[in-house]
Amino acid sequence: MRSILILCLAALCLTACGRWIVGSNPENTPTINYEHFVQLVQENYSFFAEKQVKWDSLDALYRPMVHDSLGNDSLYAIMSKMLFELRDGHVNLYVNNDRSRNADWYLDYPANFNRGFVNRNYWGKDYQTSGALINTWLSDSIGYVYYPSFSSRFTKGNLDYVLNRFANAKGLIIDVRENGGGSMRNAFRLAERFVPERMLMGTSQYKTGPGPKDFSVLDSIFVKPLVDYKARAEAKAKAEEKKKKKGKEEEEKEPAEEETKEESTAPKQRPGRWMTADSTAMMLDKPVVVLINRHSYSATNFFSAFMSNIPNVTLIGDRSGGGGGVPVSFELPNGWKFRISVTRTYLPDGFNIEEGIEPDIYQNTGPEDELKGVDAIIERAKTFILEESSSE
Amino acid sequence: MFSLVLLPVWGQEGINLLNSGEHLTIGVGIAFNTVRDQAHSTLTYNGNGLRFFVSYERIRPDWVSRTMVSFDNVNLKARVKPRRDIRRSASLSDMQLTVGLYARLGDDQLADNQQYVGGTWNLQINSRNYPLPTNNRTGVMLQSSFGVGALDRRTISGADDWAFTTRVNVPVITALYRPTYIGIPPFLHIDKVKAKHVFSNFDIVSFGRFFKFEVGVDGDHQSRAWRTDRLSYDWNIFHTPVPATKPITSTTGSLVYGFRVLL
Repeated sequence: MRSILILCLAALCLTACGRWIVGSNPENTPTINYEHFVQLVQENYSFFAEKQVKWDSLDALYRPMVHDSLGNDSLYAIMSKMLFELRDGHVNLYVNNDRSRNADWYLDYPANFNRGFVNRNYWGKDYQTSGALINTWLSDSIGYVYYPSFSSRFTKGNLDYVLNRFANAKGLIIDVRENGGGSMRNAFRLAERFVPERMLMGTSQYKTGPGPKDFSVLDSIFVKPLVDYKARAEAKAKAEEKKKKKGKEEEEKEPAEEETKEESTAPKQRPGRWMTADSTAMMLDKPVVVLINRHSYSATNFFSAFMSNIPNVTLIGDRSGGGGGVPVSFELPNGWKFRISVTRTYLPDGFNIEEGIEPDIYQNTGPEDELKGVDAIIERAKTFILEESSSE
Repeated sequence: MFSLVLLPVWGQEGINLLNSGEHLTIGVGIAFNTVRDQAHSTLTYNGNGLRFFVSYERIRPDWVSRTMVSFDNVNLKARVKPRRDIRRSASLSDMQLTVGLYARLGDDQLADNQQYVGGTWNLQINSRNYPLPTNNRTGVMLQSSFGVGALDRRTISGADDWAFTTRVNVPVITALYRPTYIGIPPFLHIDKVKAKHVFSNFDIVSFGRFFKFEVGVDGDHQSRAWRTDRLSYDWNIFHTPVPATKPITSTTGSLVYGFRVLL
């Protein structure tokens, strides 16, 4: 009985000691919260060098204001101001009733998009919504897709439907203006429909340690087509060559049976996916225009960067908002949470996409154009597609 | 149906709990977890939840084999002082598969306390969801390790219907997967993540980079000839300093009741 009691006591002690062994929480005082905050940003943020932000100097400036009798509101204000200096839309401090932000990356520039106006004047009442993809025909046989957020989902079937719908269009406009980003998976899923073969879209690296130069080696970002068109074409060419050879041999041996054999080796129509792939493949040769503005941010910025590498894709509008770093979150001893960018992404030519992607054709639109009843960016895209399709 | 299967052993007289046999145990209990994963938070989270387990033991005069699968599902909270309403809690899911083979020390077949040493293989999938705003909400640790272990099986003098088994396991070499320094897996640039991407990111490590210690006590009370009631207490700690400056330390204690039948 004594052994059982000893065992029970030992069990209780071990369970109770968990917190002691693992380590208790850091003290929750303004100075300790500030210390953790400064250190976590210093050790994890990825764009100090690119943005020429001296975090040490900011720390030196704000540290004297932090003391243990500081209220939560004042501490929040100090931390928010420090984060604001990073000029990064992926940087936020979250408290119960607010979220700090720097939105200058789009508020300081023309909006270049008015959804209500575009809806009334271009989408009309007959547009279709396939998943999150709003799609409609524009005049002159041009397909138009508006994707409002990369957080909104669409299925492969939705995309198949949309691309099949515009299979006979002269060109396609993909409008990602005012799209603030979301899931990178959707960016890959959309981009893969426009690449003829596996393409290098850029390189990426992430923080691997606390030092300012502690970054991983650059990893290549590839986008593969949904169907490997190149491999299919090669296989088809090989099969035809083989067929020709076989045909010649058989012609020499049994010329009489040739006709029946030709019938049996006639190409078979494959259902479903192949049909879809064939129709999506048609977009590879047609002009595709991506419309961007300063509020095309984060995953939308990545998507625009990917698309800018594809030969038949043209970006029209304003520079995208940027957001080339993937944000991750941290927690402070007082339970506040904040997020900062921790990766860097470059185009194949080494251009850092954090500050946004330049369009191939700059075009603004605003109230003056709306008075004329047009969205100048959409009109520019239409003109471009018509020019391209007529020159072909 | 269950009793039909057990008919052959139903009529047996009381058996010595340390004798040979094959036993299947199914159990449920409560698990207490404390974890601090600095890749996600500076705070220590703890809480309790449910544990389910199934174990299969083969006991022979010279050896014991033991296979155990356990699932923990625990709700965790970080306690901030002065008290703040953080509202959302974290959650932990932990799955472990342990296979052990232990050889008997000494040759006294009638001894009422028996010692064994042997080797173990442990697979652990430990995943936590933190109440964070974006991306690194999920903390994952996968490990597969080979280790050494020991068993002590004994009856208590004056209480023939109770037997106790004490277990200790320590992994020696481990294949470990932890996310990167920034708390998320290194797959950001990969369109479709496949199993090979995960496997290629396992590190083979030893004590210095992955330490785990498990201890457990099973108290078996014979209530029928064919079945025993088992009360188990398990406790383990693991710690890994990977990735640099963002270690994880976790302890789990569990108290479970098991329904154990002689096969």
